[in-house]
Amino acid sequence: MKKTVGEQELLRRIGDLPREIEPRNDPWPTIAARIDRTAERRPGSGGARTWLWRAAAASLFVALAAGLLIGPRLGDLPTVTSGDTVASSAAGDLRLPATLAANEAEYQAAFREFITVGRARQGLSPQTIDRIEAGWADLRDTEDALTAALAESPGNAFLTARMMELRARQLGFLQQLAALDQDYRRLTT
Amino acid sequence: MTSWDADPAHHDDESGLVDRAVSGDRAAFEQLYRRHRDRVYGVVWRIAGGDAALAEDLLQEAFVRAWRKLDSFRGDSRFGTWLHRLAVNVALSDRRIRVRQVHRETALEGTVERSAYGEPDVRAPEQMDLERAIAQLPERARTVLVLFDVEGYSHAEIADMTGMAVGSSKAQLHRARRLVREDLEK
Repeated sequence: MKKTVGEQELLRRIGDLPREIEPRNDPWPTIAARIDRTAERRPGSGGARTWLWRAAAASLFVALAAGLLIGPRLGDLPTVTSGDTVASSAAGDLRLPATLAANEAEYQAAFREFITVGRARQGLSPQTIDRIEAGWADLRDTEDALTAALAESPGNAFLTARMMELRARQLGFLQQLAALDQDYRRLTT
Repeated sequence: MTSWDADPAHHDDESGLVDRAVSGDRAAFEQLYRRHRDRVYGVVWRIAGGDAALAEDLLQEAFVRAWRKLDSFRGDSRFGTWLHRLAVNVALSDRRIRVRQVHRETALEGTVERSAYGEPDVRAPEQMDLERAIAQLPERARTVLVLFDVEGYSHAEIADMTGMAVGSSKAQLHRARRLVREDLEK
């Protein structure tokens, strides 16, 4: 016999659901290990100067790593080298905040509209998936570092330029994943 | 939002832990983790569609980010509220770039029984059907239903967190409830 579930009945049942659920595995040991690795990155633990340099170094590292990961397909994005970094940090200081705001808006819009890679993952090797996830995780770590550094030094031209470069990388990354999905759909349908 | 948020004694006690954690006391942060783990896991597990492995990744990521961002916690809200919202944001952003195959058959069985309320609940079969119906919702509909109906966020807050319009949030909720009801009526 078909049962009927009314709106109020549904809300009652949802209201009865437990808000707290115990995970099958306690991830604290992993969290603690990650915290230990990143403890020196906490604001206040090493001073603003340490933060700035770490953020700058991380942005360079990730830019290079991202270039290796998705390289040729990001040809239209700015290539970051240590020389470019010095040059770009000295240029256009007054326009950077407004440019960064526009850059942020574009990135956030793309991110919100981004559709999870669906079918493509079926055609990717586990190694490729790991590389993609690791690449994105690196970008997010750098985003965290730069965001924290900018919070300590708002308007810093060097950091602002790095953030713009990072956003371009992230945007490119999302576009590449979307393209990957489209390619797969085209080849398999 | 929650009973522990509304408890002043709990809040005072927690403020001390938060202060110690902000100053770098990892033991204090672990106590905060123990207090909030199941609450955070509950929301990310549902947003992840009942994928336990993904939810544990998100739980881990949320607490690592919380540690890194503790300096930005100003005390304007309760720590639990701040942490909960941070975890939701982690889940909302992370799941979009997941390219790992999501195994929907991830065991829902046992999860309800292992809830932080302790002993197996006589309502477990009914709850399991509901959890399964929620897990099978399309992502946007599931996200809105979990955040609005289960977690108590407003449509404006959901719109802010997800980037969708308030009207879309309302439409997704309507759709989600209809789909869940249809699923339960099968």
